[in-house]
Amino acid sequence: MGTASAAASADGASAAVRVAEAVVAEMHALPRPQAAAIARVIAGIGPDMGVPLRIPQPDLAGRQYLALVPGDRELPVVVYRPLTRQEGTGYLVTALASREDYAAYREAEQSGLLDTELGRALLARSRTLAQFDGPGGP
Amino acid sequence: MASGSSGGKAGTGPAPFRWPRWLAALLLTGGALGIYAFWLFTGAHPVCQVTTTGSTVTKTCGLPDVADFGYVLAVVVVLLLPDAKSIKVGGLEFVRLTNAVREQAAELDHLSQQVSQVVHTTSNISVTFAAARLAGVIAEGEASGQARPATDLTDEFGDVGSP
Repeated sequence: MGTASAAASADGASAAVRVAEAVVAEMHALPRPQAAAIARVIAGIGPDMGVPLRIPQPDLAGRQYLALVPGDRELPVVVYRPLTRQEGTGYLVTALASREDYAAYREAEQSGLLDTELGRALLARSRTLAQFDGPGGP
Repeated sequence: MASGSSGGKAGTGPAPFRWPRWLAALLLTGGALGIYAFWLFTGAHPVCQVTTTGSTVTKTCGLPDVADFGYVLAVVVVLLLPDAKSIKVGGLEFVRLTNAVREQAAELDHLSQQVSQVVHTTSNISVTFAAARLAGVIAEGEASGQARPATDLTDEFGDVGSP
């Protein structure tokens, strides 16, 4: 499991990590200590970390997303991907996911729910669903 | 007059030894009717009554009275009783409790299965919804653009709570 450890963030060597504006906005919404902890987790992103996510969503096709699950259960899950060749080298942090959404994603992935008709239909409207702050909302 | 209605709802199951009991009841009824018909058509008078009036003894023979078949009817009723869901005697109705309980249990079981299915489906929808939302959050992040270096964030948020 890609649990981010203090050791991972201690070196803070990943200058090539970039963070999407949506993620920065979410960090501003977090309590300051949590945002700082997330900043450290992000700074520690490097090779051979994270849990691969298989997301059969057309907009996200062809990219390998990974999840970093901080040890502190209060912190959201950090989702990132390696930059494409055109984008350069390094990583792009694309989302902070709630623990509930991440757990649901793992369950849906393992049980094949994402490949069902319902899964495909909901994935096709995922951008709209992202606006909903459900019980598992960040 | 007593009347019975037999149970036949799906899932309740028949009373034990149904077919042997029904066969015995059928044979008894058929046998009694057959013997009666045989006596009737052959002119036999197997039931005799001897009356003595003073010194005169009178012997009267004839067919058995219909009431004599009450014993056969009683045995047939006892044989078929386990299949009766309810029995009406006059204005009173006796409902077999075992059948009623069995029906309730079957209905409860059916209901429980339906509830379980609804819960399972709801759970699947909820899980898939949350998973799709995660994909949506990622897509939103992709679309937001203007990515900033992570080092900016560590500067911005400082060392609050760092070990």
